[in-house]
Amino acid sequence: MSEPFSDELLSAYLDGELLGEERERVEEWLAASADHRRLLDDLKAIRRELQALPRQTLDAGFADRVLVAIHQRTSEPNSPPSSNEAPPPSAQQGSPIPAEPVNLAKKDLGMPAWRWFAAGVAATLLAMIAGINAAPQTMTQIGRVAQVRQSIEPGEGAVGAARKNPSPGIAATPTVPPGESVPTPDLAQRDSADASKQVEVRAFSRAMNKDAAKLPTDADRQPKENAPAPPGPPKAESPPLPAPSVVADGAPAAPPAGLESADEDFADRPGSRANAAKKSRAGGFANGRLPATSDDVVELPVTSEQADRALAFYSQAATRQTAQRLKNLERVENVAEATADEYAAGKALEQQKEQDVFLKGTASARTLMKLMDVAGDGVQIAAVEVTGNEAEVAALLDTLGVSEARKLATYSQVLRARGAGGVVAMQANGQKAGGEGVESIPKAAALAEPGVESPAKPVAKADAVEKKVAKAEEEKGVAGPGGGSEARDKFRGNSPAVRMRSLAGSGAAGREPASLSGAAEQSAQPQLRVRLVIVPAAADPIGPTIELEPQE
Amino acid sequence: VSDDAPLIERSLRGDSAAFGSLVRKYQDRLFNTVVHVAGSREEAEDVAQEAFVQAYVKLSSFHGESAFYTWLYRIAFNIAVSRRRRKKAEVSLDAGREESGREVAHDGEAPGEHLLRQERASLVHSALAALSEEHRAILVLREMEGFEYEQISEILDLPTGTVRSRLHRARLQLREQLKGVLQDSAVLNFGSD
Repeated sequence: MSEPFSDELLSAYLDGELLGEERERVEEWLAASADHRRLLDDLKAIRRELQALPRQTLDAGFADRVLVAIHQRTSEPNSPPSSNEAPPPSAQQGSPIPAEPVNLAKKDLGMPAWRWFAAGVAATLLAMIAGINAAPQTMTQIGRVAQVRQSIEPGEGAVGAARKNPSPGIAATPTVPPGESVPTPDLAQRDSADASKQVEVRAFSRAMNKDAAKLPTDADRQPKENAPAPPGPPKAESPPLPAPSVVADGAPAAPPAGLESADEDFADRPGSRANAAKKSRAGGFANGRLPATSDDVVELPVTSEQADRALAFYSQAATRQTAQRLKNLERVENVAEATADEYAAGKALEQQKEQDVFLKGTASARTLMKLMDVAGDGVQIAAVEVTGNEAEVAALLDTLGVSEARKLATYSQVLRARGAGGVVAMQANGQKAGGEGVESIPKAAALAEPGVESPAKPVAKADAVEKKVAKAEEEKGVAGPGGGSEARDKFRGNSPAVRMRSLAGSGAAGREPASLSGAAEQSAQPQLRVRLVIVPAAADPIGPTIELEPQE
Repeated sequence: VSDDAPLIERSLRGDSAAFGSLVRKYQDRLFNTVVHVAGSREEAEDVAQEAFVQAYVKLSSFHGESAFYTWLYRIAFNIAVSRRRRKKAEVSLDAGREESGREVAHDGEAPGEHLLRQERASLVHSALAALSEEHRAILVLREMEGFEYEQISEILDLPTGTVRSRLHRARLQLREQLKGVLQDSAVLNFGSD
């Protein structure tokens, strides 16, 4: 290699900003030097950390405050509004900002202003009552209710507006412009019975498509224009959403390319959670196959029970901010199993790229492997989290085999085993993916004991958190930290190091000894959960999130 | 750009609803970026509001040579920088994060997971806040908003070459700041052969 290494080029390579000779040169450097590869990995990790930060949003009244401020600004004698250069009033359309930006109550809209206000209040109440009575069975419904609320409810907007622009009434007026209808909830069209619901989910087909995932397109690079407008603005300007493909209720859709051969090796294992899930699964998720197609839309069944759980969660977490976020939601899709941050991440993805996906489904171990294969050539798996009790994780890794398990470790480094009586988390933490360490993962789970203090520097931070958790659990009456660190030390060797973190257990039985035999007993109620997070290759900073988990 | 053109056209004719649509379309993305530069939610909201106001006032000078959003960002960044120079405001990104209310505990989430995630985000926030303003801004634009170098160049009024080198320096600094986090990271590639 004749050219000296420039790490600045490496950064540009990560951003997909290099072409031709420069790109080839960087690839040569990477092929030749582990240090360079490590630096690139670090830069990728930094990107992921930044993108994982929670996104912050404004309240729904912000736009109104802006319009009021514009009105005030353009009313000032020394502030030349752009409308000076705009066509004369005769050519104006809509409501001129300098006249009355948002206060529709002062406009002649066909009936007195107070009636509009009263209508707005009534509509708000009706929407709320409808939402309560309907007890939204899917988060789609919740989202639609929230959509209406944002359009017509003063709520936060009024408070916010009062803070900045104490002009009563302005933020409380409907923000939907005249002539444009308020989106109405589609509750009546949704059956609230216990039957499975079909919820539209936009699928990220590129993740399944090696070629498409390799390089970002121009469209990828211009996600800003694709950001869906919040509820309220004219729908005509909103980018069109992909048309949903109709999947017959209960009928499995064709598996995506590359997943056709997903088999049931793991799902068929006696006592496995996947097997139980397979038996209890209905329709489209039979056999653990992801009912995605090559189209951009799949539909996933969400039971009312799942939706109720989601609703319960949001009710519990109904802080002001959470409520505000719900108000800001344009649409909620298949989040019956989603937590708040997962949901927020999904929404963020949607905002960044219209075709992105927040997809949740089910997967067998083999499906997981297939996805990993796909991911290896064009996208990158950021994390794989396997949650189950020790026996299940061990069984999963056995099924995958050492080579696949190594791949898991290479790609992910996160494996968690959750026992019925305690939570044992394992985290690979080393510089190499060695077979010994990978093979040891199930053993590590088996040998891990809770509450072991960690002297190792790299894990000190996490261990501090563990202590907090343990303390919190102790305060709840759960048994205190347990015994020795032999197993832990064993796996915290030089390379590879498999770090085990024992998070305090819970449950009436207190901590269970984490052993394979004990875990086997615990597996009477298996809790296997596979969560796969995929981000695309370095060239594309915006990644899809695909989560796969067996359903009850 | 084409999506915004009709709205811009209508806004220029004084249609408040059209400009309101533009505001709603971009407010959260702009705010989420500005909050990292401005230092607090309150300041970021003020900056975002002023940016939209100025965008409206100067809308006739927007000729569509760049995306409206890029143009809007440039306005916002100029406002943020000039306000910070004036106020010498203390960076308080943590305060902004706390107010965001994002990091609520998950239903069914193991307590450790939540704490780890929270702590992790806190560390990243702190590391970001420790960077210089110019490095923080360029990192946010690239990593969080996904702007291309050319767009960043427009927004920050920098040559593309400077964008490249500054971005790399910013990354190296953040890498240094996050050393512990990266070592402890579950997503750090330890499997490189």
